[in-house]
Amino acid sequence: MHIFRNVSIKRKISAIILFTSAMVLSLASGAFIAHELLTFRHRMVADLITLAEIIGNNSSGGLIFDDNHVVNENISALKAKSHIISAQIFKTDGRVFASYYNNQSVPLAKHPNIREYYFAHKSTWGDITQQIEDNYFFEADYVEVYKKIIYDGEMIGTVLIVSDLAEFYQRLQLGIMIVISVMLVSLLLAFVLASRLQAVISDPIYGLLNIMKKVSEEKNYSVREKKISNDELGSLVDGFNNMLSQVEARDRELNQYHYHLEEKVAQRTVELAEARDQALAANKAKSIFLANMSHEIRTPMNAVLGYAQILQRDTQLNKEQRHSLQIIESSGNHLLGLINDILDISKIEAGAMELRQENFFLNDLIEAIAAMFKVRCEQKHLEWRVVSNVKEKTLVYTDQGKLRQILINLLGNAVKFTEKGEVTLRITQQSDDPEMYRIDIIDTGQGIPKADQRNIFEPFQQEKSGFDKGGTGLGLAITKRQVELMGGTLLVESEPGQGSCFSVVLCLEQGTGEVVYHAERSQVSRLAEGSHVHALVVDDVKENRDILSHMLGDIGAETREAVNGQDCLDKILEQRPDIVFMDIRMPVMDGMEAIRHIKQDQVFMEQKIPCVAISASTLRHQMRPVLDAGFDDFISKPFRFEAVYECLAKYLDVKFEYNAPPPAEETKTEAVKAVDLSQVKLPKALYDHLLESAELSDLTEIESCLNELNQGDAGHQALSAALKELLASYNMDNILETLQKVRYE
Amino acid sequence: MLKHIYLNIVLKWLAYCMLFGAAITHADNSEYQVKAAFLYNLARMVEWPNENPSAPLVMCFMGEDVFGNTTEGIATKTIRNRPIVFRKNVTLQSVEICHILYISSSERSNITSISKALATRAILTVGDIEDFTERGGMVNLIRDNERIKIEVNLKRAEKTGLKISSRLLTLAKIVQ
Repeated sequence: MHIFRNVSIKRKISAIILFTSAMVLSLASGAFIAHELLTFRHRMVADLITLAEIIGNNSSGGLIFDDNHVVNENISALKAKSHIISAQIFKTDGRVFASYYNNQSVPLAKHPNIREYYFAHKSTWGDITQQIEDNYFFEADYVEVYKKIIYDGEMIGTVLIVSDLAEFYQRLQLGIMIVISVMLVSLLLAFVLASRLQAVISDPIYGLLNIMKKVSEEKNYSVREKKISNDELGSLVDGFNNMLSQVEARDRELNQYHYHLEEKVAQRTVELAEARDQALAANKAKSIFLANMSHEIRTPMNAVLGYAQILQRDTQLNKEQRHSLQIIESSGNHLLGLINDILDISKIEAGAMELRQENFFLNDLIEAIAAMFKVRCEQKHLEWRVVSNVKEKTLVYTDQGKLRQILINLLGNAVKFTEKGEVTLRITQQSDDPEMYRIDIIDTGQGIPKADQRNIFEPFQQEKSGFDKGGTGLGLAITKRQVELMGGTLLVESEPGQGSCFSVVLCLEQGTGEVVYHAERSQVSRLAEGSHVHALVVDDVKENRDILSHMLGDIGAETREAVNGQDCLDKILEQRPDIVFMDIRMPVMDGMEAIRHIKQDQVFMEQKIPCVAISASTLRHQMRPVLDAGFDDFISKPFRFEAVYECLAKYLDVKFEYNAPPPAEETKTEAVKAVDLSQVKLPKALYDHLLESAELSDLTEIESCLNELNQGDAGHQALSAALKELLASYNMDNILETLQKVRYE
Repeated sequence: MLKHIYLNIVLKWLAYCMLFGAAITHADNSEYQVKAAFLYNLARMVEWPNENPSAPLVMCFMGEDVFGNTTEGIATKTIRNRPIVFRKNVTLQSVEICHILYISSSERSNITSISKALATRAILTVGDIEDFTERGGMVNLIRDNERIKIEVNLKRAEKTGLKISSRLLTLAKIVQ
């Protein structure tokens, strides 16, 4: 059945027709033949009965008069009928009276008594009368016909005729052959007809199939099938066409929508492009603004810090004067720090921050920082620990400044946010990869709730405690980005009340080559004997020129000044300087143009003068072109004197004389220690005022608060004095820390 | 007178023979039983004109009673629902009521005249002597070994209006 299921419709229909025809034909033929044969049988029997009757009649005389001679003669006439096997006449007592046997056969009536013979037949077994009646019995090869001979209403004997069934079987055979041949012919006819006529059903189906295939292949939904008939196939075609119409409509709709969508997308893209351009422009504007601002702010800062440094070189200052200068310098540095933070974050966000890698001994850096924080921890009565497995004399090649910044920032936070307990710096050099380092900064401070742990790394985000502690809120943001810039990761693990652990995992390349030591500012006093420097200072701002000239003059260098690029060129032509320190932004001719001349014009080129750019612009896209334009080096404003000394050393091969370092700064915070702050209680209003002022770095307000505080008791006065000291050194952080310790009501 | 005596002696001898014959035949009783049956069967196979279906069929015996009690064998039978009545020792004068008339061999010499006398009567004459039919008889029963054959003078029978069944005719030898 399974095979039939998968055969084509054509074959199926043909097969069905054929099968039906065959069945019907067989049935009809069978019935016909059966009827034929039955009829034949009846006729045969009837004939035999008639025969028996005739014989019986003819023999009745002989039977009555017991004269079988004539009767035998009579019977033997049956010879004419070749199908008669035997005929016998029995008397009433059952004995044979006369008989005839066909030559070819063996006498069948083995029983001389007809009664035994008759009643041997199965069908007479139930016969209780035990009378011989007119009957006929069919056996396999012959038929027996019994006929009573009746004369005058009285049975006088029985005739038994036995006939073979040859003719019957012949007829049967013939019948079957006819049936078979007719069947074959008919089936052939049926097959031919079926093959033709099945097309009535299957052709429309194939038509539909073809259309479907075509539609699928060509994706042409506008074709339709023709409806030929009104029957179920017609309905199928209708349904199909209907479906196609729907698909076509949808397809069209989809195309329209698609097109519309493309339009929309194009539109949006344009809008987005515009927005993006605007954003980029805004960003660029911001960067330019920042660069400008940084330049604007740094330039006066340069003066402040520069002169502060210059004045501090005077060894004849008294204590107050030195103190004042230190305050000026530290305030200036603090301000610079703030500006740098802001600049850094925008640099990082603009992707403008660069790594300046150098070789240095890692342990030196760790020791320096450790020393710094040891002091700070002692100030706050915190334990300080350093755990390090870094091998001695490990040389690394990386951005030392940034690494220092990172460590200071994280350690600073640790100290800031820990009231009691300890701060641990742990540095682990991985054993399986000696260039991988893990730095953990662990404190026992107040901890950071999980909810805030992501926010703290965002710029300008300070969670409450950070806000309380002051700062720009940029520290961690900058640190994280710096770590990432260096190819590392910064993680935090913390629970409120259980301290924090900030981990930095980064790869520090193994260093090769020499370590360049930065000259300590305080060490250089002047040029050594025999070293001579003639410098040209170029800047359009007088103060800037003054500082540098003054500084160079102090160490025994000769200086000339120029006010712009053109002036510089002229002055060079007048007299060749050993080195040129030039600002970039100048009227008439700026530094970029000037350097081009210096490095490209024949007349300057042959003089081979080293030129160092000094600029407040430290953005990458400003530095690179400067160096590319031809400057040998770059110093950013406000500059450290050491940078200048380094340039002198690098390009002019001069030597320096060194001073003993000036007296170290007194730790002003000692005064704070003396006061037992746990006993001091401030009125809330004053406390809040003080806190707010300190956070805002509002010096005037703090001072007025302190004055108010001074009106209080001894404890208040002591606090006031202590805070005044901190204020004097502009130490906002410490003021805030101190305030934390104080109670209020 | 001599002839008469001769005839007498001969007749007596004949009678004696016939008696003897009868005795023989009495000893051979079965023969006449069979012949009785024949008579019966003959009656069955013959149709008399103007038959009265309810009247009995009369079987007459002329001459010597050779049948004896063998007729008892067929006495109870019927022929077409007509009972059989026997008349023994009938005379010419009383044959009118007979349907069948058996003439025994004792009447041999009279057969011709009897037959002539009955020529128009529908009486089936049956005998069992050799030349019965030549002498005018209608049906002769001839003994052939163990069998009894029938001779029929069909014409003579039909002349009187008797109809003889073909079944009998096929069996019998037909003489003229």
